[in-house]
Amino acid sequence: MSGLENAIVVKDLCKSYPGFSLRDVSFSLPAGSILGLVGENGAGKSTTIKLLMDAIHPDAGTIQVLGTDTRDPAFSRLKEKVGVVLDEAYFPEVLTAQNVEQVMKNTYTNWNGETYHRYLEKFRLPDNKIFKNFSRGMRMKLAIAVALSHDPELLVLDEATGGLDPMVREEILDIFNEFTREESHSILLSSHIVSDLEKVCDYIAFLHNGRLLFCEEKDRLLEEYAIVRLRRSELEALESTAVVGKKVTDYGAEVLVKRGGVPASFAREHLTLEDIILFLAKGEDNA
Amino acid sequence: MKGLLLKDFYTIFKQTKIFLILIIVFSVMPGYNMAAFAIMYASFLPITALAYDERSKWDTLAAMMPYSHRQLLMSKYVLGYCTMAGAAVLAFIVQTFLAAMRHRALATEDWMALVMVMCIAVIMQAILLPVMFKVGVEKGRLVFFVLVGGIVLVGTLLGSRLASALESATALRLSTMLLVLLAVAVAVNVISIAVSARIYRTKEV
Repeated sequence: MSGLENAIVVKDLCKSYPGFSLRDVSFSLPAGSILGLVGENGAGKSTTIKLLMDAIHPDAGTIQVLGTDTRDPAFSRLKEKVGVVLDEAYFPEVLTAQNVEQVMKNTYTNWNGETYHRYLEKFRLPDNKIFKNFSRGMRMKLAIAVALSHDPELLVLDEATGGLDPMVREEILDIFNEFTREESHSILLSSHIVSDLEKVCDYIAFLHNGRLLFCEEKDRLLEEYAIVRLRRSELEALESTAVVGKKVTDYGAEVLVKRGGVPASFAREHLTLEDIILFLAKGEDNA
Repeated sequence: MKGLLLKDFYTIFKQTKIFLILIIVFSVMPGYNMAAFAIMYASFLPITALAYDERSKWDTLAAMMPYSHRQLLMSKYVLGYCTMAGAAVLAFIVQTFLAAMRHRALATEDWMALVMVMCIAVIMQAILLPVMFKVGVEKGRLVFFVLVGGIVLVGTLLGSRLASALESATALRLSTMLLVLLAVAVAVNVISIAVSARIYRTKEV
């Protein structure tokens, strides 16, 4: 798969359930990068990931993963090259790490026992303890060890760091960074913990109520937007095209603006990814 | 598929040791009645494995792995065939050994009866598995109880007539019955696998 421009290409993806629908989602993950899929609970992140792995079928749209259409029968074999970690580890509760290795060795042709044991050691996971007695952190570490031990080119991680303590999250994010040092390795990382995504991602896609509000390079997002704080009376002085979102209180206003459209007289403050997302989500809800 | 079977064997071995011990004990008891129980028990093991899959949400994870729908569903059929065949072979070896101790050969009717029970168990599994795939083990158990109830009812109504017919049956007639039953078992399984494949195609995890 080396030489591939995009690890994932999603076009006009739609999927409806009673009470929820994913509408016209399009984005791509350039090979060698990390894309963060962010969105509140129920925004459609897990649905998107299930569609990407052909665990559920789209109502409309197409998905290519590592150059293969996911509806192609050949895709099930291509999953050898995709390491997946879901929000829970989902291994049968009586299995030990040793048993999991035997199962995976007979599932993935590229299984690498040496890598698996290196991760077990790194994560301090016991070989013989049954999965039921693992803590949440240990369970997720085991799932990550499995995902990394069959020589994947793409990692798909659905809320893999959710519910973990900051130390463990840091350790795992370092491993993801290390993984993408290889040019052909890419990661799609879904999370609602924006600070985690900000640390490691090259691209950010923001899903809100089943719609993709943007998919942009992270650095460009941070350069493009700024926050200005002003009095309510000053609001009118701002070009309406420059205003992306605003929070107005009795004491003043906080406005998310496009940097280029704001006069130099306004003091522009630095912002975080979380600021952009909160403003955009709020603006969308008020629209 | 070996990975899927291994996962089921680990789970069943660790979760249902008593069940497995019962199957072995029934298989090695003198006489074929208990061996028949063992084979019928063994035919329920894939459903037990499915119940554990549902509990751990294994299906969600398996859908992310390099398995086709056919491999996922066939692993449960193969698990049943293996455990039933295991119980039948164990019973056959022990009964042959017990007959040899009495300086007798194993009666043809005896091993034929064993194969017949195996066919019935395979048919039961073939009826139950698509139902379990479709509605899940919890609701599927209801169908299972209806099926077992139906068999018991038919057995009660026709039991004495069937027993006397079997006693008077010649080896030739028995072998014809066996062949018919084998053909039915194969046909029901082929249909069952096709139905399960259809269910899996539209199934979403």
